[in-house]
Amino acid sequence: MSLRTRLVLAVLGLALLPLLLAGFLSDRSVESAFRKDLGTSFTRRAADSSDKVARSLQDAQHALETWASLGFMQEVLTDDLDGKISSFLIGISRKYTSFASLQVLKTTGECVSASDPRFIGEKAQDRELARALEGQLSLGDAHYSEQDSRWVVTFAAPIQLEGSVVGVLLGKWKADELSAITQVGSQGESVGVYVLRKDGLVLAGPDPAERYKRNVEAEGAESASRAVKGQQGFVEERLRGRPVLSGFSPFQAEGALASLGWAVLVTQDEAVAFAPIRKMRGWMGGIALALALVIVPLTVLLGRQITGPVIDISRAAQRVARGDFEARVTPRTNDEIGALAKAFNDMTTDLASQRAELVDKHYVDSILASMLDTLVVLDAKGMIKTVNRATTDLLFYEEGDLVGRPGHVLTGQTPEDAERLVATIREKRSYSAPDFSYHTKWGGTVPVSLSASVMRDDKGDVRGIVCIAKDITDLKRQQEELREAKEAAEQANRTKSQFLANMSHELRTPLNAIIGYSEMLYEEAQENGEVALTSDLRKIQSAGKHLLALINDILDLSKIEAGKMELYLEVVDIGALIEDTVVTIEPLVQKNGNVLDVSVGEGVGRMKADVTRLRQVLFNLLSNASKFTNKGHIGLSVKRETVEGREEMVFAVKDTGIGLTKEHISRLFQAFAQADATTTRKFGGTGLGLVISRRFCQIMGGDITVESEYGHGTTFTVRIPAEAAETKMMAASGAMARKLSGPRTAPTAAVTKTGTVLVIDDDATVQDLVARIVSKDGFDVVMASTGDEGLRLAKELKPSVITLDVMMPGMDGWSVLGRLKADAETAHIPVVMLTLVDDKNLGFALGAADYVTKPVDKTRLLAILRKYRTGGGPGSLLVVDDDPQVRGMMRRQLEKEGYTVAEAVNGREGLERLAENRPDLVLLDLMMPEMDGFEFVSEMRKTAAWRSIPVVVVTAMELGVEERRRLQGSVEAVLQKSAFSREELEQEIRALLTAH
Amino acid sequence: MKIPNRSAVLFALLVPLASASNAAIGLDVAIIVNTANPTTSISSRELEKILKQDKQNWEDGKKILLVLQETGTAEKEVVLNKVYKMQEAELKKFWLSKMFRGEIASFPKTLSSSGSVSQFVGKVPNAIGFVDASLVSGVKVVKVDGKLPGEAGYPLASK
Repeated sequence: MSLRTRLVLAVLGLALLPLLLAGFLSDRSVESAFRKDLGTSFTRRAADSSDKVARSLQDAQHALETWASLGFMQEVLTDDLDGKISSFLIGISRKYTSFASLQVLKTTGECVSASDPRFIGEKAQDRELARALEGQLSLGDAHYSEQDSRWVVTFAAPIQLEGSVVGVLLGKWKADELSAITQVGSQGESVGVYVLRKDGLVLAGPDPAERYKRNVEAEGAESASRAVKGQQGFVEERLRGRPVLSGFSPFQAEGALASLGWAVLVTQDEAVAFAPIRKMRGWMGGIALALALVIVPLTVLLGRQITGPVIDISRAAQRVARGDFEARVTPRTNDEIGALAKAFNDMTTDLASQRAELVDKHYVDSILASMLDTLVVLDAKGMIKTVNRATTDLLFYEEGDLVGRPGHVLTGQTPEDAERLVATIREKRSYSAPDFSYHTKWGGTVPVSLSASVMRDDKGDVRGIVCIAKDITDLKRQQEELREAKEAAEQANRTKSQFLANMSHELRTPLNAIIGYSEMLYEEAQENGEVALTSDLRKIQSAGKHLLALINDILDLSKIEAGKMELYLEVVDIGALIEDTVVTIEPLVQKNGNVLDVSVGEGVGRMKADVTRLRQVLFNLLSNASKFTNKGHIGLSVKRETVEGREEMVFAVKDTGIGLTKEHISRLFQAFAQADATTTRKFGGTGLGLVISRRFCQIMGGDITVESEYGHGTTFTVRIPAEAAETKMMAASGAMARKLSGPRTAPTAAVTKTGTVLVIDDDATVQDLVARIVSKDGFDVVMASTGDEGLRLAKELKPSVITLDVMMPGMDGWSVLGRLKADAETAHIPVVMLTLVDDKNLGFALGAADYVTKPVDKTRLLAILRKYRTGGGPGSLLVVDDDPQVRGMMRRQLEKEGYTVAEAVNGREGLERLAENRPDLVLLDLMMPEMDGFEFVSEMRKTAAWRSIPVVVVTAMELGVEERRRLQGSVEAVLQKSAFSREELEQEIRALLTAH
Repeated sequence: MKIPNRSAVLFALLVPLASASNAAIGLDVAIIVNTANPTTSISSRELEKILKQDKQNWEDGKKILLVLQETGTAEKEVVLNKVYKMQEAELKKFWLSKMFRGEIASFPKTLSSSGSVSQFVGKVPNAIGFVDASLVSGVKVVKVDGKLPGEAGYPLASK
């Protein structure tokens, strides 16, 4: 039950109920007192009435007796002739109206005188007469008198003379007088005063109609019966069915009257009798009700006043319990409850902030606990303050093991080192060690990537250090795996490249001979005019060339697909290019009886593109056109267009040949699929041409499109941006090559004609070829078949350029190169490495300045170093060698000489060291794990800052087959021995010569 | 008072005797009034009226106060015979009926002797009574029918 209800009920119970109870009880007692009072008063009244009646009767009796004794009464004897008695009686009866009649009787009973003349002469029958004649006053109880026609009480007083009764005075006292006496004051009162005869007959009563008729005792009134018995008192009884209160008193008189035995009854309807009480009760009830009506609302109000604030507080408390810490109570009153409200508010505020703190704390705790990375918080002194679960899990510790211990427990450092580290972190405010390690409880280590930062307090002082370390075991493993995979992939790639290189080399070598010799013979035959031979020789040559083309295509394609195709962009005059191309293609065109039409648009001018490739593309398209058109028309056109703000060169090759179906077109650019199988047989070709052409165009930022109608001809359109740029299809490592190849002038630029070219090659064919080629341009060619010979000649002649074959028996090209560079006299001569392998870069990337062999000759080494030292003073060196002994030895030797030495275990580290400190010179071992010397140099050369650092190669003299292969695979030539065209070679050489 | 009046009884016994003797002697009853009373003579008729209390007021309007003598006196006898012409009992009845009719309030006043009547009338101005003519003193005698007692033709002579 609510407080309010209790309060209300309590007040009602404690105040109202006792009130009511008291009221009730008092009412009861008042009622009984009242009853008693009233009863007593009734009794008294009855007694009073009775007394009055008695007195009246007694008065009447006395009067009568007195009259009887009057002198003239004796004249009854003389019949009252003079009427003295009559006069008297008449007069007296007027006065004493309470007597109905007065008579004087003779002893015979004859009436001689009466108050009423009619009576005179009559004989009285009254019984009382007899008694009176005996000389005693006689009383007759109330009865009906015929004579008087009313109820009377008869008095008979003897008239005496000298002791003897001579007559009787008979007085009839009106019984109605009783009513007159008793009913005084009772009118309108509803109190009934009754005079009862001995037998209960009502002699006097409020209702005249009832008098002399009603018998109260007969009605069973207890009061009556008791009263006539002589009792006095009051009683509650029922009279005529109504509850009444009756007071009764017996008639008390002396003498003759005593015999009457009358009673007086004072009775009142209880309803009326207790009306006052009832009224009072009503009043009391009304007051009580009024009180209640006032008290209850007041109580409720009071209750509300009290409980209102309490309820407010209680509700607010509930809200707080549900988590709403905003709940506040407005104090309504200035009393204890108001104080409670204030206290509540304070408490809630406190609670809210505590909760917030707790929530924060929980929040933070849950963050820490849910972190996957380890979190260690050190205090300002480096003692572990907090560790999260990740830490304890990872390192197999319990929280208690770590908290309070110094931080180096985790890192495995010495206290001094740890202190230093802490100081560093504090100074730097943050610290990151991607390759850190934590020590587990059991002494093991876990590789982690550590980030530490300083935690400051409000004042800005260092409060602690927060270290987050990520377990990188997996990462490392993944990295390892990646590296291995990469290695494997690279290895596979290298293998593949090598394979291709080998294969192409193997394939080219005989091809060289076929083509070369067939050409030689052809020329001779032509000179000799042997026509029959020429066509055969031509066939041989063309076959050889075709085969070569195939191999080149395959290699090209594989290079393109490996993403290793590089562009040599140069400015080229389109007009000239077209001319060239036309000249070249003319024979082929004419072969099928076709006519070639050339149109060069206006303002075509120059473009920047890879000339070789472009030429290849045009050649490819034109040859296709020629092949598939018979006695038709081939048109080659060029124009410059601006498309979307970009300038493009649009080459179109249009033929009136057999055309292509839609299906053909769709398969057109797929490798090895000529239009259909029959085409290959009929028209020859490798089927790679278009694919390669397209790739070339795409690499240059353009594309080839085709339109054709089967049976009516085909148009191939080549669009290339006027400023062709390498697209992302290519690895951007052409910088080196570009540098070396230098800005190319137009092919037909003038060239200095002086110069000797030393050709070092064991392959006579090559010798011949190169010789022929070069000599035609006015160079002197000197041959050397072996490395030694080459060296000797180089030293002797000091040629302008040396072409050097890599793969030679005895001393291979590499060694020769080394020697050349080693010898001060020949070191400056540019060397063109000739090889059968494609990738140009590596070859020149290897622009090794020098080389030393192992075991290193100290003197020699120092000499080299001195040679390459720039400026005065000792320099800094980088030694890259996987052999720690070599490194150590070199370091000792070189440091003695005043050099600063940095070490690297392999090429990768070497690059790191380069990044850290640019050395003046690099001592490089070739054969190293992870990254060998070649790669290193290649990487080195990519960075502009490092390109000029001289590299001294330190390698073992004896190269195993494996090493050789590797070397061969890694060393490239600018030009392929067999695939280059004469022009290209010339160009290359010219370029080198002009550059030097 | 219960003491019997001996004298009254005696007198009562004696009166009849006396009256008898008086009749034999010859008594004149004088009608007397108070000396102040202007009346000097009345007719016998008037006298009857007065005595019968039919006439109840003097000329001047004052009430006639009639005084009779008690039954048994000679004087009463004469009056009874001569005026009332009734016996005592009849006269009682007469008075009763008169009272019954409301003509008179009560029996007229009676006195026991001429002497007391004389004394009474002499003192009471409006009174009228009858006495033995020989015993008149201090009162006025009224002529009846013009005659005074003792005169011949006087109506109230006992003879």
